[in-house]
Amino acid sequence: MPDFAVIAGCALAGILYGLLGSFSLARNQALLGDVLSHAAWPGLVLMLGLTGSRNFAILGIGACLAGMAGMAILDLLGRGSNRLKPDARLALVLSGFFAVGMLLARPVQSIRPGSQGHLQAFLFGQTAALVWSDVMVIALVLALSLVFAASRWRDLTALCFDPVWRQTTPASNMATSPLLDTILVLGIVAGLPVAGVALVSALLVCLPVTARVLTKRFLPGTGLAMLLGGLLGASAPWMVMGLESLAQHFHGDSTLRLPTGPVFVLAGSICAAGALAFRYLARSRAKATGAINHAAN
Amino acid sequence: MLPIEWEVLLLGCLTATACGIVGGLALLRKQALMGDALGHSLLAGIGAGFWLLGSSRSPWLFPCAVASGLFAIMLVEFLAKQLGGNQATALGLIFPAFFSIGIILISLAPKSAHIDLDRVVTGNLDLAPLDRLMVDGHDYGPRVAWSMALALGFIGFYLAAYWRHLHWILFDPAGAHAMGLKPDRALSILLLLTTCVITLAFETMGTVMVVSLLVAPGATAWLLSRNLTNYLLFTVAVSLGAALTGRFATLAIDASTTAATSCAALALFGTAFLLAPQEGLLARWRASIKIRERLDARLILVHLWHHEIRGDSEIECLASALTHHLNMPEVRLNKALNRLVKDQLAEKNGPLWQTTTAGTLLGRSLVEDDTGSRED
Repeated sequence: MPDFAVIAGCALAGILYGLLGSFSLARNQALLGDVLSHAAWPGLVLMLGLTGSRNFAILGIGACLAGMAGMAILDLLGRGSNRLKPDARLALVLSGFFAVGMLLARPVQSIRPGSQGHLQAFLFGQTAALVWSDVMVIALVLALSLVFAASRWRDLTALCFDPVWRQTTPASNMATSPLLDTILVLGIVAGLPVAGVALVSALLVCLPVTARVLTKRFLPGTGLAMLLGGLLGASAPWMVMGLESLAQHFHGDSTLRLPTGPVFVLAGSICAAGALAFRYLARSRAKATGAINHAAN
Repeated sequence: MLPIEWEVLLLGCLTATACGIVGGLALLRKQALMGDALGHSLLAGIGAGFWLLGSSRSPWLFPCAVASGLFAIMLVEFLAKQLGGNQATALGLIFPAFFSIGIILISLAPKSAHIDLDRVVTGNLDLAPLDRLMVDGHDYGPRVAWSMALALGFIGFYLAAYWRHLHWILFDPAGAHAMGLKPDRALSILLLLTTCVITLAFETMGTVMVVSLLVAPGATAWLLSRNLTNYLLFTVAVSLGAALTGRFATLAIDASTTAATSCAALALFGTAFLLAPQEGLLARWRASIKIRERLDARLILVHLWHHEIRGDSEIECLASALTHHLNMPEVRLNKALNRLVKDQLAEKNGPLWQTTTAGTLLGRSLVEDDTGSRED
């Protein structure tokens, strides 16, 4: 049976990504999370090199700062030549920060022997490395995001769906958008031990897409995404265990270790694919009956 | 045969050039993130290949990887239509799913077929020459270098074949179609070439850092030129520059050549982004300051002229009062006044500022005739 800390950590991360993903999907920023998670990587590596600490709360500070720097550089690139299109800016920041992290990785590993495995755990996420202090970080960020979302729900809805109209209303708050971005960075960094740099952002997409296909309304959709994230998160460690034992049964190798991130993401993607397929079939059936009715008339 | 250090350099140059060209062409079509998606998606094919073929060295892994990359792109196109043209969401949904399948399959594969999961994301240019092309017991050098050279040959052939109509195909597929060309076929071949290059570069560059080799050279060249020939020449130059800088940097510091090459490409981009003669951040900043200075000077001129006409210039045009009347900081005001003096449009007469004859004419034309504002 998986450790309780692991189940709790994954479930809380799922709820967190259901919430944050609903905002970023509604703002059409599905790929921003991917860029930010890769941007956090050099901060993680550098912090490990500087402090030698294994405590995620300390490494996370570096990752957050690097994530903020990534956001700032993305903004700077947007202020430069308008020949640079948004997709090119995202791709440059994503690969650039990751490459800097990888450039630092080997020197860091040589001054901090034994850190290689620790860094690798953050690439794909590893439940074996998840401890209660990591779960506390996720819970803290989740509480922060919930308070933020609840206290500014109307303003956030306006920001997501009609930012131009929002600017004309006196009730709009200048700080909402930067605060949301900051919380997105915090959330992505907090989830790194669960899903890893490479895949953490996928959860920001697949959970809310499933919810959005099933309901058109924002508040129930966000709730549904959080519920789905929690359920999938709680079951992800069991799925990892099941797949590991299946593979062991298949070729009798008991040293296999499966990272959690891909299993979590794949489960979420299957949900999204199921919801989309359901809608597609329903629509094509409606179209077919509509066509028949039209012909009959 | 070359010593291994030179083989790493050669391999870096070949990979960077091939990636730079195909990525540069994708950049022109605003598909910079396609490379990222392809790099992640082909892992599913590699994972499936492991299980089907039971080996990590089979040559059939290559077609498996290419097929899964192309399949992922087709799914993205289909899904983007379903989601109402939202390609970013479709990308964000499809490529992590393929990537996850790949990682799960590779992690669970028997140890006999094991490759280091770490290498998948990071790549390793330094170790790539260890895989040799052996024919009849004779060593012909690194296998990847030969495949990459072959891919470059195909790219060259493609460019030569489509060169005359490449503008139309890249920038206006609908127009190309109207001209009787077959842009869909040309773009499909380009996509196939791109997938092949990314698959070959996967081993040396990894899934993430290949993106900087795909995008950075093109983005740098795009800031420096707008002519397709020059664009491609600049792209190749930046790619080669990145490969050389990356390799020689790792001779000085102990770091991964892959990461250094990728960082070098981005450093070149950063330099161009700041310093490019027209599109650079500094040049744009300087141009905007120039425009503001010119506007300030004209504002002051109109102010002086207006009050000379009204006859209250003793109060309004006092040198000591101008900053208050125009609500302009002292420094900006003095700069603008200096400019007016230099252009002989205004002069200081005792405590008052006055327009010269030319200044009176220009001031009047600025107010009364709005075509006047366009002449310098």
